[in-house]
Amino acid sequence: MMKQAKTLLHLKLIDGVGDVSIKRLIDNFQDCTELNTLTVDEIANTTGLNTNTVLLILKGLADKSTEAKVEKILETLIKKQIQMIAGDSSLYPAQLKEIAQPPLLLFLWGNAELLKDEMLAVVGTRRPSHYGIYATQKIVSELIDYGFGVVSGLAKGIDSLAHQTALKNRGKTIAVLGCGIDIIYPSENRDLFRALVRDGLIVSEYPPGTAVHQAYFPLRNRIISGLSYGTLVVEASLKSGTLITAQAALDQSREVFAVPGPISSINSIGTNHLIKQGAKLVQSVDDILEEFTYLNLKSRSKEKERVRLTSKEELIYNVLVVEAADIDYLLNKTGLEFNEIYQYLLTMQLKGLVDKLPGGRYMLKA
Amino acid sequence: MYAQLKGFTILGIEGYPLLIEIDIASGLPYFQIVGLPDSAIREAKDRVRSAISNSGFKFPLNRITINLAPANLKKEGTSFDLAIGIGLLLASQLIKVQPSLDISKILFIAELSLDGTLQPVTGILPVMIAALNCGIEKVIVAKENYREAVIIKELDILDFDNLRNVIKYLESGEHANIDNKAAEGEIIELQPKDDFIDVKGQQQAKRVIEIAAAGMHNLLLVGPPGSGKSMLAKRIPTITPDLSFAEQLEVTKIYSVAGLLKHKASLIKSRPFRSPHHTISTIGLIGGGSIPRPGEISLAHRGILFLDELPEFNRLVLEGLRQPIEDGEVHISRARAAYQYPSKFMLVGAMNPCKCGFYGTDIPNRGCICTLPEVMRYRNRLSGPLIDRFDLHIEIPWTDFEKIRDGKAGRSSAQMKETVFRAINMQLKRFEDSGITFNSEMTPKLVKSVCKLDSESELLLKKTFNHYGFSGRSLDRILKVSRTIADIENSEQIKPEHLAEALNYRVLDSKKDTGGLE
Repeated sequence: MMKQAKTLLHLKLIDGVGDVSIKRLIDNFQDCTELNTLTVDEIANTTGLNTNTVLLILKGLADKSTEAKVEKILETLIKKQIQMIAGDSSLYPAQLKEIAQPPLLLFLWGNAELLKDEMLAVVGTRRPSHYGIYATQKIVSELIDYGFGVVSGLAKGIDSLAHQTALKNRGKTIAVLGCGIDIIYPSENRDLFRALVRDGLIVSEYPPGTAVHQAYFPLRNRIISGLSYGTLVVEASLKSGTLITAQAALDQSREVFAVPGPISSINSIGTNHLIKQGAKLVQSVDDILEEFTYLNLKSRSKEKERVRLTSKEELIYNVLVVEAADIDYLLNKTGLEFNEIYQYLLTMQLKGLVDKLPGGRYMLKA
Repeated sequence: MYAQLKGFTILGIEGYPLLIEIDIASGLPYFQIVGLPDSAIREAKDRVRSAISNSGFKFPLNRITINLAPANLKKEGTSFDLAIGIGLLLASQLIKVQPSLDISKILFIAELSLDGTLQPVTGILPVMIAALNCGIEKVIVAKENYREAVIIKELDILDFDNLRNVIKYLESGEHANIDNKAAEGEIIELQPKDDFIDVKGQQQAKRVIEIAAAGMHNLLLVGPPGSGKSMLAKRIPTITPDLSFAEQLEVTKIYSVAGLLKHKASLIKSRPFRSPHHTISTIGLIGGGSIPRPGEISLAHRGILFLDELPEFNRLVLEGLRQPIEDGEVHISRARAAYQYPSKFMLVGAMNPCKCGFYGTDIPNRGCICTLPEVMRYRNRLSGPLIDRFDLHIEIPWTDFEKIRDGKAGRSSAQMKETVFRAINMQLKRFEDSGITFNSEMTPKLVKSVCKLDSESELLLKKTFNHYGFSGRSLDRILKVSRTIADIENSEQIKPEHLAEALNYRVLDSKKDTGGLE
């Protein structure tokens, strides 16, 4: 088992040889041991690869420096307790095998058991609005409540928020990277990264040390959707990479969900477009659960306890339930005094009912 | 032949008594001033010589030595010209003083022109105050300095236009204008003539400004461009309490030393409002220079220092503010002397929430374009300790078109001033024996005895601290502000609602300010 993974790693490190060629090779010669006994033409004929590629592969396999690199990576893996699995591993998720181009190798850091659980991808813009933040926090915490795990890409914005919210609610979450598994990108996610290694799982198809590269991100997206039952897009502009994930989900015939938004918001053009194209409009977690009735998921918190409000808190609650508001607006709508507004806002914040937004506004917590 | 006169030099903003000694001995013509004079004093030789000649006297052609005692103290300025001239005439016995005049109780303070005209000098007021304490009875000044000098009513101020008339007075003992002119000078209008009624909406902001003005708390306004931060800040002086006479003297002294009084006015009666541009240097803000001068923080003493676009200020300049804010005075040490300027001011800062200015607003088609690290970097230009020194932080929301057009005018300056006065009266009563005026000046010990919380408030405070992770340094400031809010509400006891309001004004303390996106 490990042997195949090691051979794959070696092959992946050869310059000029892509995943497609490796796949063809592996399909015919499981662990490449018999390659030495065959001629170049024989290999080319069996695999359908052209002779140049075959030459390149043979040269690469014999190359000592590449072999040294392989050993070095294996050492790193052991030191950091990162697992490396190939398609033959029992850990390799079945749903990932169904996709068009399943990753040949997967590096796993954290709790690999999570790959067996029901997952939903939650993705979105790197620069969310407050509405996007609200929607992510609300839906992710509900998903967690129903036992869904959350897959995302550890990018800034919605992705990070989805992971954070999942971890905060003690839920399952998987981050799929578009770079080497030990590369923290973006760097401000350092703490989140560590939390994911500890309480979640980090997945990448790239060996440790692989630098960040633009081209890897769209490829990563197919794994995000591939690991999931469906993909929820929270906010996306029209040219967003998020839409690639949605497209990947469609190609893999998985469900696509989208959170609608105002037509004036750049962040919602993409999601509204998806809905127009047939993605399912999501207002609450129920809209997602409907599609997965066969999973028979149950809410963990039986009856959500409704926090008791005093009559004056109720006044504030009734304003905030409609929209986020600043102090002046609350003053005029509720008719309360400054002191009272501040006091009840504070107590409601302490009860976890109200959140303060930057810009001096308050809103109800998801 | 020897004569001596009194004189004063300025150290910081205080007058310091000197003895001006004039000795004329026989020998080759020679004229020397000793006692660490600066070049302006050294050049007095030429001015005095011409002024005496042009006033119709023969300048003594002898060996002249002038000593400014104590000789080890550095002196500066042109205010000794007249005294040196008169001293020379006395020592050479060219004039005879009327016996009824006691020359040792007369102070001569003016610069001389070559034709003998008396010119005004800066720093008259501190000298007057010091002179009064040194037993001076009469002061002879230039006409332009009269109004500033008569602030000290106990002194007999005589103003003259030229040296000849001064001499005439000394010889005859009669002064035509000996009756005091209107003792009250004009009031310097340091305040803009605006009114809070011009600011539409913004009820929360007006409320927080009332609190700040009532307790002289440092205030930080954060808001998108065009939300009215500067407009609000510029109107703060319209609601601040007037200066007491002792405070007026303090402020006027500083302006006198800085040479900002000009001759047209006397006592500064309203609180100063200073708003330096953000390109200001450390010396410009804090004070200093090779000839030390008070900086903007001292010019804002007992008043308001408004720093617009706070993050645009040079970081080192801002950090220089920390010590003066805490101590209420600034010490500037130079090789020869240490100077001390008072700097008790209310600091009002205004800033955008991020580089583009729109972080936290959901304005259609015009949201914030900064990434979160960019927002953080912008805010990090202000150090934590500096932010800690603001008692009140408030975020001013974006005002949309409807609010501006239809907004109720809201409270006017007069109404707000009433609120402020309510709190001031409470504070005056409370601090009668403590030697302070405002809640913001309380020492930690006073805070402990004055800001007692009931058990309900104590619990609220504890919960909030744990929930938001406030720093310990904020605690005293929160208590002081809640005290001011209680004062505004005319309450002897700090109630939970007062504390809650104060807690809400510490937005920048809490790390949760990023909308959950850390």
